[in-house]
Amino acid sequence: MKKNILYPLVFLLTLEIILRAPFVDSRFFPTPFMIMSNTYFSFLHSNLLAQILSSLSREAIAFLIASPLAMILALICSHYKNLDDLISPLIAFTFPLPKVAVFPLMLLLFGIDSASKIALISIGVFYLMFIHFRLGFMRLKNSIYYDVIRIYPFTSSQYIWSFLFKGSLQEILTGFQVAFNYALTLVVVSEATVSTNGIGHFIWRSWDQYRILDVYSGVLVLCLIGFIQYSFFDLLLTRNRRYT
Amino acid sequence: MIQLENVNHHFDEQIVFSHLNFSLEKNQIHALIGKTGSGKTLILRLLASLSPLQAGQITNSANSIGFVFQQNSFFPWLTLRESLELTFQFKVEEVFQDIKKFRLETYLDKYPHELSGGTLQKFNLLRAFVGRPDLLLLDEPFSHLDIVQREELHHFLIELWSQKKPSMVLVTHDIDEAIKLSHKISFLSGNEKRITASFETANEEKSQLYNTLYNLLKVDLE
Repeated sequence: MKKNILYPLVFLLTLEIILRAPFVDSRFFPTPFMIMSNTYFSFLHSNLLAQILSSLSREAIAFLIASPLAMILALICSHYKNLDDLISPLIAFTFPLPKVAVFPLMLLLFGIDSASKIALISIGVFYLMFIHFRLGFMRLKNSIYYDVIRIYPFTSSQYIWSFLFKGSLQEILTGFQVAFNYALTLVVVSEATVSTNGIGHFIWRSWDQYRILDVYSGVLVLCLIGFIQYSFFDLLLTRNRRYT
Repeated sequence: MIQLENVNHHFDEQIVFSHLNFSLEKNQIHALIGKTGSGKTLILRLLASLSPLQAGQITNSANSIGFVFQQNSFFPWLTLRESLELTFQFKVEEVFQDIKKFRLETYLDKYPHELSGGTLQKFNLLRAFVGRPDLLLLDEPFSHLDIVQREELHHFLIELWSQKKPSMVLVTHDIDEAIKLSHKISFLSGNEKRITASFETANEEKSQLYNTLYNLLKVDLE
């Protein structure tokens, strides 16, 4: 964790020194200190916090919708081969599609309010979670531990919670980790096009109004959110690492 | 007690068994010896219904089965205590009594990877004996242990087995181990795809039996 904080700090310090050079135009390349000051100012006197909260709430709702679906479908696919034969090719066919490409359809179906953005984020994160969850469940089903379950039968709830869920926690957490970071991309893209709030809207409106420093502030906030999300799951992964 | 009659088994094109016959008497330890890939483990899996029977017949009058796997089979994400409590909710006191009897309680709150191979295999053996099963299936349980640990676990196994004397099938590569632990030894020929020889250990002179089994294995490997 110390290294996680130390390295970005060293990077920012180096950047600060380089960008303070007289030949660098600070209007286009502000120093990290300028960006951080502006971000702090925006938090206090502008509505940056509200923008962040509306983006995070969209992200949270999308995960509340997508993660149970991904979990249930992964459970079904890992236990019923016939259904897996049906569903997995569909996933393989639609997964490579850039999710942003379906955003116009989401706008058409759910309107220009939050619902369309939440739908886009839900679809994007669903795939990543489903793929990881299914991988974890499949690994367990093909392991010696599954034979143990068959010799010493568990109840359904024990099987799902103590065996499947705890046994594939590494894959589940990894699925959440990558999905949360991908969600940020989708948040920004969806809010940039048709939105009146959110961090994506904040960045694009700033760019529209030529407030370059605010654009950098928006990017910094995104970096911080991404860093916190990633580090949080990294910490959970490290704590739950077991030798299999 | 247990009988396999005319069992045939194949993986795709590869035949593992052809008209295999095998029987296990009550309260007996029956060792199975054969080269790698001869299907020893598959016999255990068939008896435990972990693999489907393709052809032939299995008569099994055992009500309960204990299984010791070759490698660790305790869940890596749970401590041994959690694993045992989960597996034997109603018999957990019986497990803990055995654990105390063998002075293993200090390891209960550890994860499997924190234990030595020998200690972990003791827990695997203890788990298999919980509930006093009628049939015990042991799949090369000592193969990855050194000679000292192996010797210790042989005594441990015999001590556990002596309590109720369940019928037991022991799969092993080790001829010495088979002679020492079992009442009967069957040789599973990889070339013939069936059991080609059986010996009652009590009726045989140990060194003579060792040489016979060694030669059978050697011929099968050639």
